Amino acid sequence: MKIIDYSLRLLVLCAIASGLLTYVYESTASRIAENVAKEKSVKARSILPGDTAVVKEFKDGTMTFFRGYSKGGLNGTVVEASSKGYGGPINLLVGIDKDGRVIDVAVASHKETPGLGAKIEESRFIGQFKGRSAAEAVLKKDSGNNDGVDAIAAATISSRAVTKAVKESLEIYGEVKNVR
Amino acid sequence: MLDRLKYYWKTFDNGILRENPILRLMIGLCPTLAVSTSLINSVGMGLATTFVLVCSNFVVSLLRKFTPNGVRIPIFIVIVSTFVTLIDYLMLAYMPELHKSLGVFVPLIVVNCIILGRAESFAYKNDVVLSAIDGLGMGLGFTIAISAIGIIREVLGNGTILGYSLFGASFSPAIIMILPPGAFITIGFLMAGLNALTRKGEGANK
Repeated sequence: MKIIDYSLRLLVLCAIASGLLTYVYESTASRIAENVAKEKSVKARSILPGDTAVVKEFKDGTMTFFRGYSKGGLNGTVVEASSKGYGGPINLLVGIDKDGRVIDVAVASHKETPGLGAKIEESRFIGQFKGRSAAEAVLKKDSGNNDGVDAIAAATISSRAVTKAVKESLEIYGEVKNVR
Repeated sequence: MLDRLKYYWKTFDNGILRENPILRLMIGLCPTLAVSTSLINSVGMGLATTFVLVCSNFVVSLLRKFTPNGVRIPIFIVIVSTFVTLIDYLMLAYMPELHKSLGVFVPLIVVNCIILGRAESFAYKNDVVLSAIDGLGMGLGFTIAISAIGIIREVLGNGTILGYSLFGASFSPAIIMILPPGAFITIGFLMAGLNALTRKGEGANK
């Protein structure tokens, strides 16, 4: 009868644990979504040119993107892109100018190894994408010549994933740039 | 009363030196290797672990009469993972700034065997207050050790401390110190140093 006693006790504990988790998940979910959305628009603002006055959110199908306006009109578009990194999805926000070149890149979220792949957030790496077009968004070690982006030492998978997402964001930009 | 306080203190400082989780018990090495590449990461991981350790020791000790010996490990795991997930949600909702800096470490705490180890070898056998104190001592011992490793690896492997460059641009850091082998080398030297120090102490007592 030991087995029944064990099972019942485990069942009770798991029921309490899952009840607690459900309650906390439900009561924090909307706040978390709010925080994420707020952080996203702040981040979008931070990778647009300094004179950006207004940031507006747009939707095209399931895709969300932001457009920044200064006094002179549209001065940049922020597109979301993601790819599979070493520890999970890497989500990027990429600011793109009218000519389809990168203004700046921000890492929205990632699950890369702290100290190694997590360095994708540092401007020493991510800043290298500034001014690049889709054809130029490539790692130096993959390009065959000396024109690409330097990968992070010991984090090639993460570096490659970011590069792929940047390239993809520039392609998405091509699709959304005429959306009204 | 004084005896009791002395006993609490002994439990507390046990984790810092005599049974330091990394340098003496050699547990929790996996997150140590992964995180101790810089001082700031080490401190963040150390404090987050300390918090979870105190909470989980407390609850495990509270439920020790309810927990039958045969299924204690699954029960510990349910408790620890529930705690870690709750903390993740609450931090995301109410302390998004803190979550930005500590968030990457939270999932790593689940696989930190210090927590399961202390539940098994201490909290399951001792009362609630003592277990919380043990959690605090072990957590701080872990924080101190991982921070020492973090300082050494950041300085030698990256040439910086807390992100500030120490030696100027011409310094080329030893990349191996940032990689996992660097952590093993550092832990080895720290362990040898600690052993040498404490052995001298024992000699003086004789």
